[in-house]
Amino acid sequence: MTVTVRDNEITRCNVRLVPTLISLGEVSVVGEEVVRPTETGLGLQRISTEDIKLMPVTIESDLFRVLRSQPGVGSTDDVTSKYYVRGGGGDQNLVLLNGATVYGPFHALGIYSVIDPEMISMAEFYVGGFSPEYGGRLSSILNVVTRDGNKNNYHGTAQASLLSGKLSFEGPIPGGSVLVTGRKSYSGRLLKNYLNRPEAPFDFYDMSFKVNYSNPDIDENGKFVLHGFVSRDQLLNEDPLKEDYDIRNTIVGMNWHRVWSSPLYSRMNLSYSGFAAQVYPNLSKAIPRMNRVSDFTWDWDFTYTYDSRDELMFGVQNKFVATKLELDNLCGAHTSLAEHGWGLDCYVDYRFRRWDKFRLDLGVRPKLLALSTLRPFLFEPRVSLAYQPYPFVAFKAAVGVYSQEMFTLSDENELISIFEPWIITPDYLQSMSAGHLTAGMTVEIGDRLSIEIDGYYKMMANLVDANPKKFTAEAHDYVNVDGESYGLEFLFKCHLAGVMVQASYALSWAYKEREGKMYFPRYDSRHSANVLLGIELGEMWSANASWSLRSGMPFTPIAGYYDRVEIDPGAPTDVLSDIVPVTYWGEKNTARLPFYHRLDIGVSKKFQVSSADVTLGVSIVNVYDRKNVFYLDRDTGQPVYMLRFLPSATLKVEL
Amino acid sequence: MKSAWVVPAAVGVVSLLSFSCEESFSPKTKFQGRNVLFCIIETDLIHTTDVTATVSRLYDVDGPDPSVNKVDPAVVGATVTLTINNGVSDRVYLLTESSRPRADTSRYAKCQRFYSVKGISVHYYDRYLRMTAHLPGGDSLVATTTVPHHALKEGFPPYPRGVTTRLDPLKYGKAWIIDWDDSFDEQHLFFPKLVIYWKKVAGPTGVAAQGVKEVPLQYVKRGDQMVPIYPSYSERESCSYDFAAIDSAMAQISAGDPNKGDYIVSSIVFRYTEFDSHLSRYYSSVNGSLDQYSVRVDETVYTNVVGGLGIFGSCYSETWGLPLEPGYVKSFGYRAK
Repeated sequence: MTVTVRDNEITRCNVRLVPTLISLGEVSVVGEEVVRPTETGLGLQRISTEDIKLMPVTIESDLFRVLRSQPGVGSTDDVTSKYYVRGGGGDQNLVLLNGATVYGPFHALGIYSVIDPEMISMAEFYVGGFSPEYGGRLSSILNVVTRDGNKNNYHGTAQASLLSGKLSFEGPIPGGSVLVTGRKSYSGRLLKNYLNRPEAPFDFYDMSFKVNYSNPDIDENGKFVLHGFVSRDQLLNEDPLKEDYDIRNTIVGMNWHRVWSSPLYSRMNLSYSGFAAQVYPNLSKAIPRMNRVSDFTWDWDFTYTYDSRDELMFGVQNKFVATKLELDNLCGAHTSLAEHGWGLDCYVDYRFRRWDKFRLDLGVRPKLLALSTLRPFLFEPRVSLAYQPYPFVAFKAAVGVYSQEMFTLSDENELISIFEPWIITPDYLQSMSAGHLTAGMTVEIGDRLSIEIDGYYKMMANLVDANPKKFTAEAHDYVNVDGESYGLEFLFKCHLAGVMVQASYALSWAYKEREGKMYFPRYDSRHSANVLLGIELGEMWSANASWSLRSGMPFTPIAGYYDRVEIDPGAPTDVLSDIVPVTYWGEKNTARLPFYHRLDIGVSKKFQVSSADVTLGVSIVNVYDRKNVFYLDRDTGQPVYMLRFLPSATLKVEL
Repeated sequence: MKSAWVVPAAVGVVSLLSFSCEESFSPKTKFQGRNVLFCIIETDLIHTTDVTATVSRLYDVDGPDPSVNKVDPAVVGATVTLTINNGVSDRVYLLTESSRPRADTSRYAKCQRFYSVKGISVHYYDRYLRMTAHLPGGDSLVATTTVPHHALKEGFPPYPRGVTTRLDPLKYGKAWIIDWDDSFDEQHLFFPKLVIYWKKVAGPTGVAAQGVKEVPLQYVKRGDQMVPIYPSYSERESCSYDFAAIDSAMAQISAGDPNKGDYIVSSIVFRYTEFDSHLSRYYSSVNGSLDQYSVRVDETVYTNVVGGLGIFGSCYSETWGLPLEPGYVKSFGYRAK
């Protein structure tokens, strides 16, 4: 076949391959290295499905738990899969699913993410210094792209764990392919291990679809993607004296990828993301709460490649967001907030690729229209560079300014919270902003071994915290606080025949400052280390293990006790008789819990039953039953522990 | 299978299992000695009340259980004064140090020490109350409160012959809705309570038993049982009692007793208590909970005591009594008078 290629013109060539049979020996794919050391993408981790498989399963395999094994990504506990990146709050992490924002990324009180690993094609995780095409969050970007369906054959998968069942189906359609996935919980019994509660009648499901379509008659050089995602978490108590919960995500979107006649590539995203959360108190004493988010987003990103290999990336991001929040706080004061706004950002990023040993990205993200009234910046400059003096080593640095105009009412005193509402920054608050300064080094020895060392400094202003002194409806619900974090991270990856090892260590500091007082946020951890090990044992057996070590989280210590008057409104209060001894808590987060460490292991065996590939997996969480302290019970002062020894099993059938 | 991996892995796991899996740590920081003041002034239409205050200090114990403390934390020798300002002049009362035997001696064996003044008048128009405690060591505690306003009653349905549930549902609905009006809108908490007074007579003149039956707002089905729902604190200025709940409460007065005619049921009484803003915030911060699944740490307890902790608050109670309609009482087999 002869193909004619002309200057400055993209040549399209369709080749239809003829299927044929060949015989192969056993092939084990343990992982793949996808990031070139000379890329300037400092702080970028690409999570593949193989990375997810490397982690021992905690009842369900979960993308967010894999993220937490990355250096710089912390957590306050092992009960939920919430994560904190480089000293930033939990709501400073943007989760994108095919370009659409996921506002409620958790199932079942945050124990799992709503993103089923089965539907993931690629996940890019930026832990800082991200390029101008991303905005709206201060700490991290998780960009998840779902798989395209199989274009040649119909294929189905069924999976079962002790918590949920999953089905997926994919196959060709005229002009493209389709993928449909679904997951449904069928038992919440195991979740009681997480919550230290005898019952937790959780019920959740999620479903996704993705349709790829290309037709030269409509657009010769284009491809259309239609995608959708819904998830729902319900906690329905049959008892009218207990509250009910209902949390939903609804995402629908369209992507249009196009290669233009010049070396110009574009990607357009049109999406709607809705989030609704409601607490129905019924006849309980729970506080009624409601949150709605409607997000209409239109993005158009362009990449132009010059002959010199330089790239110009530019685009526009247009967003209309409406949020509504109704709740009472702990002191009975009511809050009603309804905000909406247009956000119009554009960005330009020029990527110098003309030199072999040096890469430089110069970018800026002007904020033309802001969602919030008191927006932080008009321009957000971003610069990153990489210098590769030798083929195996690269030095990188990045600096950037970031802003965030939406946040959740996530009080860090709520270790487990079922209701984390999103709102646009109200008029009386300045929007959050941050400056990142990062520098690092990557060493790659062949394809088998890599070492990354990153250092960072992050300055955060106007972070939003719940107002601890809101006792009346007039008092503001939130207050601005400032923050700062810095640290050093190491990541070691080694991939030898049949064995994959990943080890990471992070040394970090995080602070918040309120009313002139500095304190450690609860997610501040001085030392954290993770070791992951994956082994192909042969004969379709594989094993994996992960060990985590973390210095103790801050907690507020007991500073004494006093006899407090308890009021019984049904009878006159006697300050002499109606007293109970209670704890007096000291300065916020001035003490540390003991070190956290935990070992998880898993083993799986793949075998064939008729025409089906069957994978059976068994895993054990907290093998040596370490009593990691979760928190001190505020009523008893006694420690409450995190996950204890917990075995689980999974079954996967592929047809 | 590469058995070479299995043996080291097994050895590693067994080694880890032999580790000590729990390490001790202290949940405490350096003990802080702070002073605590508690005083709640309750008043009603009669206005005369006794005022009692306690002054104590924080204490420490070995371990996390404060109930093992045996050393009375009360502060003696303090000078405690109450100043009442009605907008025109001040009235100053000195609370005298007193003691009384304890009903419960499981924690502290000695007499209970406190400060009190008896029989003073506190009105709802006494806008400003200040309590000051000067402690022997030189520390001072100061707190202020404002007595809640008298809330106006409104929305009582017309009961010309007394309260009854035998009403036209199209005209009166199926519930007794009681409203009050806190026109000053100070976000105070209200605690409504509806009770029925009854007594059981033995013979022509003797009283064998008497009591008060609280009426729930409604009954709900919980499994196979009907569970009463009683009012709780809220800022709402109304409450609604299902007629069926009133009927059920009436019937339960003599449940299991065949001699219905021995019971005299004459009146039904609605009482509400209004907390001032400080007491409302204190009560909410101590008793509030988000839900049964959320886990919170670091309790923030409201205090209005400058220089220490505790609460100095006031509340106002009002009682509205209404007779029961005789025919309604007799429909249960009871006597109306």
